[in-house]
Amino acid sequence: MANAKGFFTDTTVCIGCKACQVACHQWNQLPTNSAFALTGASYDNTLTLDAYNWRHVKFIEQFPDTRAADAGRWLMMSDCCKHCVHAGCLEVCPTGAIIRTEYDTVYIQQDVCNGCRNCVAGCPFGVVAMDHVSGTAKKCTLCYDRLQNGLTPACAQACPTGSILFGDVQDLLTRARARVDQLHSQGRTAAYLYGDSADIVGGLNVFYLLEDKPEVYGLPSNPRLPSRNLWPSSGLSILTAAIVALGAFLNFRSRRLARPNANPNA
Amino acid sequence: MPSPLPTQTQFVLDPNWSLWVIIYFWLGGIAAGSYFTAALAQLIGGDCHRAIIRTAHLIAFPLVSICSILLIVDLYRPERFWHMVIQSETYLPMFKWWSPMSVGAWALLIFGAFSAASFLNSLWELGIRLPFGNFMNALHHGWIGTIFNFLGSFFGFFIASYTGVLMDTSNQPIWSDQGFMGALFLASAASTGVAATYLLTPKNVETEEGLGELNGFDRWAMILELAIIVIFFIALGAALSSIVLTSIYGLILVFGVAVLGLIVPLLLHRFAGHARWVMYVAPALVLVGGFLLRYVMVMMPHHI
Amino acid sequence: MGSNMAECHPVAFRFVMQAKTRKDRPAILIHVDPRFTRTSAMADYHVPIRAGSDIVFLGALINYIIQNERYFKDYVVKYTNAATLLRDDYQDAEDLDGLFSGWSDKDKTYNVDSWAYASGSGDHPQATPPPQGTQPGQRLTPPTNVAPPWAPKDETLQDPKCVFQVMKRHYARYTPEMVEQVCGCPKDLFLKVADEFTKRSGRDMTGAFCYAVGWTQHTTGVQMIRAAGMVQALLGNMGRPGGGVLALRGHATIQGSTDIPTLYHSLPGYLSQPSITRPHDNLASYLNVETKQTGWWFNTPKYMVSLLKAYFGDAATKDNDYLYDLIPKTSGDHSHIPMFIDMGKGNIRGFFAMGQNPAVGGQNARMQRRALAQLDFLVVRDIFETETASFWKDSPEVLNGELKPQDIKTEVFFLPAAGAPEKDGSFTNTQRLIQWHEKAAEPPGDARSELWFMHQLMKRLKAMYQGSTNPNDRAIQSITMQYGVRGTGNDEEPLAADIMKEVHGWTVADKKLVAGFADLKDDGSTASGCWIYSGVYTQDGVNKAQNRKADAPGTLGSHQGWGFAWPANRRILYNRASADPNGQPWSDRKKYVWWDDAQKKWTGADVPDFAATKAPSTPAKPDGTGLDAHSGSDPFIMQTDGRAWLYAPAQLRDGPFPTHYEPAESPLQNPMYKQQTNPATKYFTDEPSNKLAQVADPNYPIVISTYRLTEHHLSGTMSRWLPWLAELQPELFIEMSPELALEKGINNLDWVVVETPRGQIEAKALVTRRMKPLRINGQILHEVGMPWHWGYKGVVRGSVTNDLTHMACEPNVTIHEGKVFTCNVRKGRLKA
Ligand SMILES: Nc1nc2c(c(=O)[nH]1)N[C@H]1C(S)=C(S)[C@@H](COP(=O)(O)OP(=O)(O)OC[C@H]3O[C@@H](n4cnc5c(=O)[nH]c(N)nc54)[C@H](O)[C@@H]3O)O[C@H]1N2
Ligand SMILES: Nc1nc2c(c(=O)[nH]1)N[C@H]1C(S)=C(S)[C@@H](COP(=O)(O)OP(=O)(O)OC[C@H]3O[C@@H](n4cnc5c(=O)[nH]c(N)nc54)[C@H](O)[C@@H]3O)O[C@H]1N2
Ligand code: SF4
Ligand code: SF4
Ligand code: SF4
Ligand code: SF4
Ligand code: SF4
Ligand SMILES: [Mo]
Repeated sequence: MANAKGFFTDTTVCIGCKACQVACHQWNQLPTNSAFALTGASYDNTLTLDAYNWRHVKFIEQFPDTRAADAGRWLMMSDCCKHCVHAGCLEVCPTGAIIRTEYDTVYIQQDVCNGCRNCVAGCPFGVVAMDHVSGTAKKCTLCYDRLQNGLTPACAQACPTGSILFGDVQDLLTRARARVDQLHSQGRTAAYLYGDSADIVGGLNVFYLLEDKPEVYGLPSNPRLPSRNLWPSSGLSILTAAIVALGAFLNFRSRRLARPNANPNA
Repeated sequence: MPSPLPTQTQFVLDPNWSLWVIIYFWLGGIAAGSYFTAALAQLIGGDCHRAIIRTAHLIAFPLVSICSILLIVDLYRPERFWHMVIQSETYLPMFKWWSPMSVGAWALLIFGAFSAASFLNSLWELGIRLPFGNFMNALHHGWIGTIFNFLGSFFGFFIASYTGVLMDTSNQPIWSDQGFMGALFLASAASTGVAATYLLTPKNVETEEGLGELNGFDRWAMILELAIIVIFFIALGAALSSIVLTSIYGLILVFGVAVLGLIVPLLLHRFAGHARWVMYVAPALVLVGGFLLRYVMVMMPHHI
Repeated sequence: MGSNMAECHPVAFRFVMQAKTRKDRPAILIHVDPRFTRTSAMADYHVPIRAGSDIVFLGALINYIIQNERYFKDYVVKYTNAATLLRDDYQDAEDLDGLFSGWSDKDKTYNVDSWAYASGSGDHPQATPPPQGTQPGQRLTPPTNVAPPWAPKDETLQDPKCVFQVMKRHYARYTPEMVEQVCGCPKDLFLKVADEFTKRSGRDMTGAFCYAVGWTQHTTGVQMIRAAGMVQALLGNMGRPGGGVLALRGHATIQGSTDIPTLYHSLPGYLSQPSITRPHDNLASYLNVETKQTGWWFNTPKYMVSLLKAYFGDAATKDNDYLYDLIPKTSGDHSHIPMFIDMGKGNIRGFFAMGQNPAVGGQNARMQRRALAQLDFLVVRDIFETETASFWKDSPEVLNGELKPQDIKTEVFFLPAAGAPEKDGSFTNTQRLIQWHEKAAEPPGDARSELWFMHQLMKRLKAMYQGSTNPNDRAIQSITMQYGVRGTGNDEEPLAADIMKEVHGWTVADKKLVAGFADLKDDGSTASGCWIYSGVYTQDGVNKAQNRKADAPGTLGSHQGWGFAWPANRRILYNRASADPNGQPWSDRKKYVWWDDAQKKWTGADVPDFAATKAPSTPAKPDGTGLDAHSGSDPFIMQTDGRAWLYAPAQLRDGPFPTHYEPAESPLQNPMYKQQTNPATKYFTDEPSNKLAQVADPNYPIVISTYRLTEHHLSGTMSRWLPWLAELQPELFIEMSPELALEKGINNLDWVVVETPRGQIEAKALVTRRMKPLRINGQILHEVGMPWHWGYKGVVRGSVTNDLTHMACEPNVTIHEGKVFTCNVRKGRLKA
């Protein structure tokens, strides 16, 4: 879409401050994880995205066994809904609760959702999740309400380093590519964009600059749409139906042949 | 830790489809299976299978009704079940041909209607005269009957398989990593449907021959199901299959579903076919197997 | 160095990231820190060093700069005291194995006479100043100037007695090898970053140091910072854009509360608090010792008298010494730790904790909580009921029965406070920038602002002492309240803007706002609450702290239109140094402030920090006072000699050159000198609870450091009470390397007991490969780290880390050594 809105998330400038998580919780008035327990997984406090955590900052510690003084890195990445151009969640939603907005974002209408959880099964990124209180599916709205009022999404607004850049996807892509070139010129050749091209579910309106394999950041290298299986699976079912029918034919026909003019009401 | 799952499915969350859905998939299969068996028997074998067909029809409708209740209670917002077929803001029909769940909801409605008609007809035939009974009866005869049964069998097949297609059409591990769940559920629907019909059909001289043929058809379905289970593993690929097979679910699938639910009944029919108890034990095992199959398939992705 | 900027100053850190990601010449970022933090994660180089060894690292950097001639020669010769000659009787730490000349073992202090510049020029008109009148207000014979501008110099830097040569000898043993041995950081890594940093300084490049309490909280803290100052002076990085040694200040407006101090030893604008330990008996003698003959501080009398006029208004007259003697005099060190030791001895009756939570934030916090129990009354004004407010019922001492609430005589008053958004006021931040904030919301319930409280308290005190004839009460009787108010009776509250006007200053006669501190007089005709803030208002009453106009990106500007930076809206201090001795920019790329020969004045992107029309060629007036004693090319106008001090001839208690000493608690013998620790360290040995571990104590073999997390704020009152923040770091943890964890049989998330001679606490283990054991000449040394944000109140609770820390303090500023001490850890929990 021409005026598609989204985020360019530059993980190389993320300082893991979690301001985005707090801003999201606060703007959307989401409850906290009541457990208040240390996860032990670096500084990660939620481990995943879920119905109450629409933003999640990941911490990935990579320190080689050499234990050399200056070796190792600590990757940080702030994650949310990708607002896929071809969205698995939207595709399978049977009620039409999930819609594509005028900003080309993917939005769940809370008053429509009936809690069938098909979208949960359908999102390749494990983003959308069920709120057991409201009984509906929830995820990042890309601050639909803020966009409609001309505001920047809360998380991007709060981000101190510009790791979350909000804007028109087209502009963001140009900036992102420039940033990749700069990193390459500084010798950080591992840097690349994830979700910038249509070969990942038609492109992600929320795309990332990464410095390691997607899986390292908890992202699939080849996310796909549920519908990929629709025709194969249906076809095989039809075939099987045919074989079953054949079985029926072979078994049930014998007596008709034996008594051609059978009369039920006899 | 690196996950052996293919990456397009390893990061997804659990939709928490559990007991209600499992029972629905199972009973739905039985209902659909018995219904399309009946329809086929009528279309192919003609009226000489009435007793069996009647039993099938008496089974199908009640089960489908239970199914729709199960489906509704499984929703986190049951009072909004109707959003599946009617758009809540516009009150226009809600239909997405590319979403198996959406299509399934419609299919269930239509199949419900068919099975209801056949149910009433069977009662009519048994002399229980309910309103519209005669009309329902008319639906089952002549060229109308043919069309009716033809469509009936179609929707039967659909209900039998769409639940599997629904699972394939997702991003869940195992479900979406092969394409045979629809086929498998359909075959299982046949075997369990027949088993149920067989179990409940009065065993007497009049039905004996028909039951024999039903048996033959059953054998066909069960062997087909076995074959698809094998193909299912092939489709999953070595890596995944090994995970599955080394898990409790894999064991249930092999010993519970394949051996206990299919191979044993087959052998029983083959070698002790005429022992009276076999007529009850074999189909019962098939039904149990059918349940285990649904259980294993639904639970696997997030519990291995 | 000494700061975890990304975690503790995330918003300021955005500019670091902008510098790193900008198109043209992206900056490189070096993080020297014992731990691998979120700042290290952003850095081009992370250099791990042993906590407390920075002076070896920086000394080696100085040595590297000298050996490889990386210093900025023109700058060093003209703008620093490198060329200045020292006295013959000065002896260096290198000669005396860790001590400088003048040390007295008896009273544990230095006699600093031998540190002064060589006088060598007794013939100079001011070498022995003429005696002057003795009337109050007039000056007596000034004390001899230890660092006069006219001190002899050798601009070839060859004279063995010149600062440069002495410095060269002092740091000769601070080598890359020594860095490897003492700091535990590989030699090659040191050489790499030394090269990277120094080659990026010079005529058209500059580098900056950012530090915070990773440096200050050491018994050698002041000297660490000085060492950085020396590096920057040598590289020509002072007074120039992109240079400097930046103190990343802590609390919101902690800078403001040093400018207009909550400190015991200074008055607003860095004037010294009168003290009975110095010749301060009357205003004249006070001004006599506090006023510097040369340099800017020659103006001290104007600022002091104007301050007294602001305090006491018309009651302050020339004849009554402007009521100077109503200012309480200090009798020694009354800073936080000595104060609490006094409190523990029962010498303090009442205590106001306003915006402070010492029950958690104070060193040896157990001792500090017990001290609170010795008070008659305690007033806590806070936004939540803090650990300090509830020590008498919730503290570990009460829970384990050491203290019984019924035995605690302290009467505790808890008063709800309004938070910053709930009141008008100003913040002064790291770069001295004053920014005004308007009240955004009504405070809840009975919560009131500080202004309201102080005003209401003073009103009541004045009423109470109205009739008193006791001279002790004159201060309360005479203090002015010269500001407008809103509301009446118990709601009456001062107008913050009016108070800012009083701070800014006016002419007494007509209450007309002055233009700036240049207008302030020492004849009682002007009043100003804090001279350095004078100028925050325009004369027609516009509050510049409210300005919000930033310069366009890419323009050569200093955001003059954004807020107000003291002094005189100047953004870079000593910016005269951004031009060469002739007043021309060092380079086009780094031009900032320069001499405009056509207009005969200084101009540029900032307010010049120099006499506006004093030409670069102006020679120093031999008999001149104040700035006249400096030449047109002496940029450091606050200094008596107008030069950046590579060598400190005065003002420090622990030596003119930064020298490596081990922390008060250390697993090592000082590898460099016989002198183990900073000789002048304040140990407070009279406080029994303040036990220290031995050097290389086998019972406490592990080095521990305490620090902050982005997710929490200090003692946690502002984060642990808010679920949205509390969940981000829900539990107290101790970070340790897998190697140490293995040694101690500890797994990730196990409970661990941490022990020091002061106390024991428990925390969850966070085993992380970010922590690496150090190899200090052959032997493995383990370091652990703990945040200190937890306490026994709030949504999330945990042990008080400060129950572990000690109270041995730095000699110049009495700051504790919370950044490095020794401990031991074991798997398990405290038994309740
Ligand atoms: N989020 C957040 N921000 C804050 C605060 C907060 O509580 N939370 N507090 C504010 C306040 S009051 C202050 S004073 C500042 C403090 O700001 P910082 O000084 O940055 O904070 P710290 O985490 O105490 O210490 C910084 C670093 O010093 C390192 N360090 C310890 N010993 C040494 C040493 O010997 N040498 C060197 N080179 N490094 C050492 C520690 O490993 C730590 O990473 O932060 C302010 N900002
Ligand atoms: N071990 C160890 N100890 C340390 C440090 C360390 O690094 N290690 N750091 C030291 C440093 S740098 C500092 S600055 C101190 C900080 O130590 P403290 O200042 O004692 O701790 P804070 O939590 O900042 O206390 C500030 C209190 O002011 C309250 N407050 C906030 N706004 C307002 C207001 O508008 N009005 C009023 N009346 N109250 C308000 C807050 O709720 C909080 O309770 O800790 C020191 N202690
Ligand atoms: S990321 Fe998942 S939830 Fe978000 S739009 Fe894509 S499919 Fe939907
Ligand atoms: S849970 Fe709600 S949003 Fe998700 S698919 Fe079902 S109806 Fe749509
Ligand atoms: S866009 Fe809005 S909803 Fe989405 S993560 Fe950011 S703050 Fe949360
Ligand atoms: S706010 Fe920005 S920097 Fe902070 S964690 Fe989120 S994305 Fe990273
Ligand atoms: S907490 Fe406040 S002062 Fe500290 S960095 Fe954030 S915004 Fe700045
Ligand atoms: Mo601080």
